[in-house]
Amino acid sequence: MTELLQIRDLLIGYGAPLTNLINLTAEAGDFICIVGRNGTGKSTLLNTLAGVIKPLEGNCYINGKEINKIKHAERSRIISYVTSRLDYYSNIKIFDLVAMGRSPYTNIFDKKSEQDNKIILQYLEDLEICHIKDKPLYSVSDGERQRAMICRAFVQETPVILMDEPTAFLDYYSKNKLLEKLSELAEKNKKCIVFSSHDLEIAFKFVSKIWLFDDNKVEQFELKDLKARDRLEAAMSFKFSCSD
Amino acid sequence: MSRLLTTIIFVSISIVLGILILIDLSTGQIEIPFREIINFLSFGNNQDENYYILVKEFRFPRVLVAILTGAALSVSGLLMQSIFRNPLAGPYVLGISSGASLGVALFVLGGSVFAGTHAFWGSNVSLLISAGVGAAVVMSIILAVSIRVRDNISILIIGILIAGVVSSIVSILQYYANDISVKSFVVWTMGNLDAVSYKDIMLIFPIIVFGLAGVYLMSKNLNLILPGESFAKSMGINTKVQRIIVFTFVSLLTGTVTAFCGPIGFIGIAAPHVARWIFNTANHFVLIPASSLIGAIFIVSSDILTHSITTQGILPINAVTAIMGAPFIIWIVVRNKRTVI
Repeated sequence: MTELLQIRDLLIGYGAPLTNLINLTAEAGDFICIVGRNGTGKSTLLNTLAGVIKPLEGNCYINGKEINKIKHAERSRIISYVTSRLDYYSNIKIFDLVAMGRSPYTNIFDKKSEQDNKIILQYLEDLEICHIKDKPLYSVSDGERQRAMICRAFVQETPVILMDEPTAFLDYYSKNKLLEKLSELAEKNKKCIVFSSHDLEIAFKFVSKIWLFDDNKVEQFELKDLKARDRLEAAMSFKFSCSD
Repeated sequence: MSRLLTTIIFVSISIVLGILILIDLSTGQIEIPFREIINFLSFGNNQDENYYILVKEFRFPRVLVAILTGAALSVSGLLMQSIFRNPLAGPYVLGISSGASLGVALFVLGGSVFAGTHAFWGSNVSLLISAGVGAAVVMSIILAVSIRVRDNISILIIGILIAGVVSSIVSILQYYANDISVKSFVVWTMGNLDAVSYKDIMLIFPIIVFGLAGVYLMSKNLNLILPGESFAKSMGINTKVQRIIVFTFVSLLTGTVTAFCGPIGFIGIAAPHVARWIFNTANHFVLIPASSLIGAIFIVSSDILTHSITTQGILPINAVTAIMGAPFIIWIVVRNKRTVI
């Protein structure tokens, strides 16, 4: 059988490879957190999976198709991606930014249907940013920008969602709320969600699997595996609390 | 911004443009009454044959060219600001107009230097092609640089350096070229809306309209490019292809108007900012027509100034657009903390 997302003998990096060969798979309904120290290649892997940069070697496959061979427009209906870099200051309204998530489905004049608008408003409410939908992007806080970008990815309604540090900038309440929503999307809507995070305590409450970047390797763990916990604690100088 | 408000602003600035066109047609060394202008524009009978000829043969083609030039340069500026994500980009500051000038210089002066003839304004099509190629060459250099250098100010400095290189090549050509060629070239560099005949307009008009329409159809993609390269890629945009298309359109629009009217500065930067400011939007579906209209307003008002400041002849339009536009650019730089594009 073919998994939804397959990473086969992949080398990632800019010029020089950051890790040894990566071999991983993910299925629909998987909720995966990428964990690792700074500079180990988490964002690079996400960029490669999203097709933003090319792999040095090896390939990633979606439904058996090589990611870089999929047409740009088609890919945007399969993968949505939230980058960690938000250097866009614009007078665009939050609503219009989020509405861009529908653009893979609209015509050349970007005409949105009733259905499109319903989807947009639904997710704006889910992420609790409906009250700022008419504000220009430059006027909102970093956390609100981050939620708007995440909202845009949800609106894209793709089977695969990739996110680079989606919990950055968010307050404690919003981090929990976001991860709750993500796990709901993975479980109920059978989305495959892969994100990187340094908020281990919160992330581990929700995710099922971990991709750990450590010692030039990327390994996959099930969180319920106790040996994996020891490994994670050693790699990240992290302590699981007894209640977990 | 609501759709209604956007429509109201569009109607208002169109009315402003209309009024400015009337003023531009009526003022000059000979004042023509509005009534006569309106008669002309509504294909009515003019009471005075002289007025009719003056408007038809001289003033009307000039206004037409002014509008096309304003629209083409402003939209070029908007495209460059969006694709470089740089509020200071524009066809003039980044040396695209200089590139077109070099093309024209090689054609006009080079003919006299290398072939011993003065090519003069012999063939307008070859003039157009040489300007277009010149613009495209500089555009490609800037593109290559912009992939390596992301810093806005550095790209700007490189644009200025390219303009410097171009002007010294032009100086060398001028040194060797014969008097007639040099004179016609120098007059051309001052920017001139008068030198254009109806025959030329038949050539310029379809090119500009085609360019503007093509650009308008790119609005959706331009909106998606604005938040950044990775964003655009993940939204299904082939950024490389889009860049090449944008560069082709900019070279076409800037090259065409520069070939006929000379390198006209500052409108390309200023008009898109005014459009963003008035319409309070980042949506290219609004910004492209808005920049066209505002660019046309800019240049028609500059044109009015060229013949109303002095009673003796006409000032070069480049001098007027610089006086109006340069302070505006200084304002953008000074105000710039988080510049909105």
